[in-house]
Amino acid sequence: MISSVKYFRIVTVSIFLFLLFCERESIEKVEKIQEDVVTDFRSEYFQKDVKIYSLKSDTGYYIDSLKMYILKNVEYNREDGEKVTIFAESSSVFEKKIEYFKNVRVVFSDSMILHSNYLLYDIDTDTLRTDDSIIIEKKDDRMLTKGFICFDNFKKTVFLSPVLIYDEKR
Amino acid sequence: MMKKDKILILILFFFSPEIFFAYTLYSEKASIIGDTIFFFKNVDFKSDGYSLKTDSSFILKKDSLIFFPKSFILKRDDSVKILAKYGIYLIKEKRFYINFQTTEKENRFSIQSETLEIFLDDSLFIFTGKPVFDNADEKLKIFGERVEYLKNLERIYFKGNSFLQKYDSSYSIISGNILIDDKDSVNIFSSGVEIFNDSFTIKSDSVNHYRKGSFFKTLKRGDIVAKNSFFQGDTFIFYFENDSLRRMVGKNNIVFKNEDDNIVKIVCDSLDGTFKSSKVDILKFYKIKESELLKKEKDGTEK
Repeated sequence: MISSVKYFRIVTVSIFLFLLFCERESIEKVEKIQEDVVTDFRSEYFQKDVKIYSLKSDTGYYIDSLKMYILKNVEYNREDGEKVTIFAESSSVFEKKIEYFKNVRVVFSDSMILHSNYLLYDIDTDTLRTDDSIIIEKKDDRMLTKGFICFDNFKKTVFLSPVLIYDEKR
Repeated sequence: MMKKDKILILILFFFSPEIFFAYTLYSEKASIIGDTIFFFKNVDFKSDGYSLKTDSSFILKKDSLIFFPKSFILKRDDSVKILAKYGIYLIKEKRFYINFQTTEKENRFSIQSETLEIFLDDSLFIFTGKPVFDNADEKLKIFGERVEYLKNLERIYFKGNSFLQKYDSSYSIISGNILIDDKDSVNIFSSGVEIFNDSFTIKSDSVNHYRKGSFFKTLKRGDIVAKNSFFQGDTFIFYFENDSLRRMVGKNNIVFKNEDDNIVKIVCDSLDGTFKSSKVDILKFYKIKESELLKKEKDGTEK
């Protein structure tokens, strides 16, 4: 009786694992078919004939089912309003938003640099936002805070939490 | 006879959660492996006015859980539609836990977030993980930390630092909390509210936006900071027309300071100002209590 129960369990687990394996295989196949590798990616965004920004990347791929690009080593250049450049290790580009991940650097023309690990750019509202921790670098000062918003043609930057100034040398 | 009764009790015991926490799940194919029931092809789930359609799902009887591992569409009878990547349904708690989703309310708004919890009994939706509220009609988006949508009351609460941005950047609002009352057409902003406009910034701890009349009202003493001017007052009302500022009315204990060629300070009871292209056109002060004019010398000293 005990051995039959054991046998039943082994069979059940094997069937389950087999089903899981089959399922995973089919998903991987579908995703591989849907991915299109992209190299030397270049994109420009215009509004009423005014160039708002350009985006470039070394490599990446396009996922058809999600209608999105996943790009690596990205550089975003703001052309309209405040001159701002964003660098990131990877980025997800959707129809209405761009997400930046890992070692994100936002470089402003007045020498301020923001370091973060995540950043969201909303195309409809032309807004940058993150809720993550940020290091702010301005000339010789270094500051820490959590969350910021950049809007109004990138002319206004608002920090969402108190800003802490710290001295690295101490 | 006894054996039949035992089987009946066993069946009742097996399906008892379904009897007490009523739901139905249909599919074209199904298989049972141990304690788990797998459903394949055209899976249709229904409970409490909610219906869900997907490709596959499975029920863990022990944990009273239903898994929806593939993308699905969840609909509520009264025009709420959710498109999600995957999720689970907790049978005993009557609660959905959904990941990577977009909730759309027909002709009103959509909310995108990484996670969504739906409490079926309370008709409460809780959005977390970078929620973004989008109202295409009013051409605005709100980026929040946590959003709670009370479907029965038609109220949406934004908790934590939230940021409202108009598509055309006519104004932007930062607020600690936001409440959108859909029934009364009022947006209530509270805790560290800052409204940014082309020409000035409004700061107050409590601001209401009456969408029908298209005006903002500060309910706590607020500051208005412009390039060379500064206003302070107990109540301010800002009237908008096609998203641009047309008129400003200030009431009770108004303090006005302007620093151009001269320094002007006026303390009065109320003021009324009209705007053209978001810039002050006419400014009228009523019941002036105090006025001061300091002439600036060329070297910048006051006289």
